[in-house]
Amino acid sequence: MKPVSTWAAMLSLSLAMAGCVTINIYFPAAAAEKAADRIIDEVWQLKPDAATKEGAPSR
Amino acid sequence: MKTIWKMLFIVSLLSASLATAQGNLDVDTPAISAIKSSMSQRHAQLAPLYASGAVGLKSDGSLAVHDANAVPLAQRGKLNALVAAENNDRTALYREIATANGHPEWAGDIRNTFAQRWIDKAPGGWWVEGSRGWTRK
Amino acid sequence: MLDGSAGRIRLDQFAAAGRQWRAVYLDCRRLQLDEGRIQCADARVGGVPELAGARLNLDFSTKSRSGRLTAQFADDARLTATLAAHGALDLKFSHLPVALLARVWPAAAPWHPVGALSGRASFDGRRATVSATLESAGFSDASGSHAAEALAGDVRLSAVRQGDAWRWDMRAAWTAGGVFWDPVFVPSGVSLLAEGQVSGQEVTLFSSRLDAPGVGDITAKGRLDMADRKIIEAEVSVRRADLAVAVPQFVLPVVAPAQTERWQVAGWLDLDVRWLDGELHGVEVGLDQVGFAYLGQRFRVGPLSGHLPWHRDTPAQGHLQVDGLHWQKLDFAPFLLDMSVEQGRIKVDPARLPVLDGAIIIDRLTVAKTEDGWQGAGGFFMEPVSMRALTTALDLPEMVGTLSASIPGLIVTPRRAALDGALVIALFDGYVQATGLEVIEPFGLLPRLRADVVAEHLDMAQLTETFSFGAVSGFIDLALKDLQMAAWKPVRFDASVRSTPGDYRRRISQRAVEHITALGGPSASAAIQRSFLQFFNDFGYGEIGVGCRLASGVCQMEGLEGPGADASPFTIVRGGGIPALNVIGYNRRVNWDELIARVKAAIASDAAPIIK
Repeated sequence: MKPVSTWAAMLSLSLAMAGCVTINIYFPAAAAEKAADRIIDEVWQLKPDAATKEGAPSR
Repeated sequence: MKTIWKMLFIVSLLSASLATAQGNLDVDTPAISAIKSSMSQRHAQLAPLYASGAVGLKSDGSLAVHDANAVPLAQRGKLNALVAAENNDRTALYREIATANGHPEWAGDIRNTFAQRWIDKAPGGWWVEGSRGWTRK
Repeated sequence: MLDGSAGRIRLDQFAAAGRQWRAVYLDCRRLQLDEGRIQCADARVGGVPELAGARLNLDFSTKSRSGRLTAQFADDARLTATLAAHGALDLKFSHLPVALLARVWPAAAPWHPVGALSGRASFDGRRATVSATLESAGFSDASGSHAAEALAGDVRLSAVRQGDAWRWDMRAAWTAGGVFWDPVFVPSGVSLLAEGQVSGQEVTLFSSRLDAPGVGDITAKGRLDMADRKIIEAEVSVRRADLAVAVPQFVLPVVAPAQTERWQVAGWLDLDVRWLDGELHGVEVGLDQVGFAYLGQRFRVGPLSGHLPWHRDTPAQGHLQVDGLHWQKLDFAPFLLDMSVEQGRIKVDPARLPVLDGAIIIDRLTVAKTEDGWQGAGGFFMEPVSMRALTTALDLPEMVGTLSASIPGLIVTPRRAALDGALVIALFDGYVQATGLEVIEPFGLLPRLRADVVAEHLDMAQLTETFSFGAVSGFIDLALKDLQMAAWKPVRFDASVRSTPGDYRRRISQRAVEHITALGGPSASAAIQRSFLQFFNDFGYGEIGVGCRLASGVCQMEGLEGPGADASPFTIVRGGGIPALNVIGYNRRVNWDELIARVKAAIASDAAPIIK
């Protein structure tokens, strides 16, 4: 989810639900993906360049 | 009165989204490091098993025995233990990342994110589970 | 009459092994029919695709209803069946392919059986004997999770009819190969001796004895109802099973596959299991010199010996002699646990576990099965342990004092261990108390500790001397709220240290001031050494106060004034008396690892005298 679309979604949602005070923090999908990539690279001992080299022809 | 609530709500939402959309997830706690190093060590044993097709990546972020026939009979018990241990660590990893960032309820989303990334980053030749069953990358 | 020319024998219908074939015929190269005697030589079978390629010889007398059939299959497989006049059937077979079985018996097909079977079987209505040898046999399902390879073995079975029942005895040996039956791998070296009786749907086992590597000597007897697939009554006993072999091979793969590699087990086990009236009635476990270690040497138990019974209807008394219990570097002296075991619950009698110069007293302890798995609950307290002994055992700087604990409520589940009560250390003329103790993931990769710690009236003179941190006189109070530790390193806490209110001498040595300022970085301590302050040995102070809120590896500091903006200075030591000295901090955000490194450096520098 891009930040811009997140904001837009949240703004429209908050206007629609005025009066409700529950605060929803949405799952940060992009940050999670970045964190996942970092951890996977470490666990699989992939160097960033080695990862693209190995990953590219398979797709 | 109502407008004040509304404004408060918008402000809090915006600040929350700013914090989470721009920030990184904290993945540097001692617990996560311990799990990571346990998984890295195990990877040396798992790597040939991925390559031979004995184990494959499942779509739920875990690992499964895909073809036990690729492993000599006497080693198949060890294969199971490796897969179970890896899955234990993976579940703990997803849970720890969620708790470290103050949202234990994110564990499921984190699992899904990881599931996709494990499969995307897997080298060619490995077996992965998609919507139509097992395929070889 | 036919006399040696080719011919065909036709069978309209032929049934065997639950299957039917129609229009089966034998094409004989030489067929001879003579006075009720059929001789068919060098024949091929038609209509049974499974037997295509077999060459048959048949010699049968319809008058005496006796004869002989030999079948020669591909390779050197051969079967000879002889039917004697009085009805006795004798089968001889050599190198009969087991794969043939899969062709005639569809249920066996998915298992892809292979191998060669040789032996002899005879049956005469009153007596049956089988002796067979299996070679190079194996099977495998599609996924390979149930498979066997290179199997060899032999079996001898004989049965005699007695009225309606058959009395039998057998002897089997499995001499080579291995079987993997997910999740357990069993290697060869197994032998079985058994005798019993079959009567209708009831099978009685008079006696049996199984020998296999690692599992010791297993004997069993009993009665089984084959219709309901139920044990009516039975006794199974295991003598001297070698746990070092049996546990990693049979137990861990089933109960904790993920932790197979983390446990090391040794010792001997005796086991007796009894069924009565169709139900499990009692289990007796005997342990001899059993030891186990978890995750290397972090937690070691053993040797332990004892007897653990379980009876269906009545609580049973068991005992366990623990001759060794080691956790990190703490060694417990031998102790005895008495317990009562009943349905889903083990209750341990009060016990005293000596450790160092004190003891842990178990007041009550029960382990019970709940919906969330096994759960332990209990209460214990400690006979004071001297800190001198404890700090020596844990390789800490030697301290004087005592450690005691009173934990009335202890809860242990697989995910969490919580201690409701207090751990109290009388130390440095004051005390340190830990409450709300909790261990998260006690059996995980990285157990974490949580606690609230309070300390009052700690004598700074003793404290600074113990940790070689210069000399400070006076007393301090300490509060460490929400302390969380992982691998004995703090991850999060909210700490505050303050001078204890009261009237007492308050002096701080120049060395201690240097150390405190050194925590702020090397330039600060250099500044002091250059200033006039170096001419004084010690200074008076009014109050000491410092706080640190640790999160994500950063310590957020505060001084006597309490919290403030990141850039604002804060007072750690407020001067008083002559000469007075203030210590003021400027950096409120300090990296925790760096701070610890500086504390260690300060302590190390104290050991060596500084020559000016």
